[in-house]
Amino acid sequence: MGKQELNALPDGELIRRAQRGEREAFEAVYERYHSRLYRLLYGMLGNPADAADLTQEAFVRAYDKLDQLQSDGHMYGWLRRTAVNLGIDMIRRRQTVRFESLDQPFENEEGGSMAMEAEDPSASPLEELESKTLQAAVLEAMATLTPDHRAVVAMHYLEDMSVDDVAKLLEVPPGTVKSRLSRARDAMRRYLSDYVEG
Amino acid sequence: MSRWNCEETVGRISDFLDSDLTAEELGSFNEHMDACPPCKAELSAYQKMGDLCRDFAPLTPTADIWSAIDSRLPRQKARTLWPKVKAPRFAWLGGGALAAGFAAAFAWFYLAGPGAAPNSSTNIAVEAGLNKGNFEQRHLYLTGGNSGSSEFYQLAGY
Repeated sequence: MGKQELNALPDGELIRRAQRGEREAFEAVYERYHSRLYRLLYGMLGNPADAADLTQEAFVRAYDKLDQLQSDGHMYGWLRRTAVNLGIDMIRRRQTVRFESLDQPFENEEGGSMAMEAEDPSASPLEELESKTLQAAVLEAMATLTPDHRAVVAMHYLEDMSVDDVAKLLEVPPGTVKSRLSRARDAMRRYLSDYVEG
Repeated sequence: MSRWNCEETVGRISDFLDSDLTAEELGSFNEHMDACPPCKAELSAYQKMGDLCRDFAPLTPTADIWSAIDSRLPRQKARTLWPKVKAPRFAWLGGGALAAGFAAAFAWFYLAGPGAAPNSSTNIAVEAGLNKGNFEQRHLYLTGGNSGSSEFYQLAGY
């Protein structure tokens, strides 16, 4: 079966095929979800190399657990939970974050050089510059947050997760998520005042 | 409906964004917003901030993460030879009973079996019988015969 046909299959069928040993089916799962996962991890970690490493790790773990995945289950939900847990572990180990420029190449785990692109194929150069400036500002604002607050912001805004879903994933009460979100909003609103006022 | 001042209203913007206001609170919130342009501007700033975060462009690493993943995966996904069968709810009871049976047989073998023979010379004789592979002797051990009796030794050929 060709790549295009595989890409059209639902998650459940891809999981079944991957469970039978079809590597291409697992690659199709990767193609489907890696950008979304990477974006979430980048938002949480603020570092493209870390985001790439943990994206990689999440997919390797998913492959290891393929036999346990239900073919009718939500593949992305499983990947997201794994990625968030990996991200939180990394944040707690480091307790600091440095947001890196979107244009700057970085080294991955294997020492290879990688660059990262912000996708916006329709943007004019001016719009692209504005978009990059805004993105840089948002990243800087997120960098000012504590790791716990940043994780909540990434899940709520980048992944559009409800407060209850974030609370379940982090295994904390919804009130804790609301409180973190409220403080994070206040801090980011102050930091981004030039962009959000008027 | 109670009237809220600016401080109260702005302090509840996050709750408003999370749809966490009661009907009465929402009434007070909206009433104040309608009448207070600075607070309305503040709400708008929070909403724009949220939009900026949501519009955070999709990021795609140009490097091929898949190659790194692919190199870490086993060449052939290990496949289970036997289908996974869910054990019955009290399956452990069967295992426990089997283990208890073995323990009882083991204890009997050493306490009531040849180990309980009256003197050491008899033990030696019994061991010798076993080494010869004497079927009758082994049979008596297993069926609970009195291995310490003279009958046993006759049967076993001693």
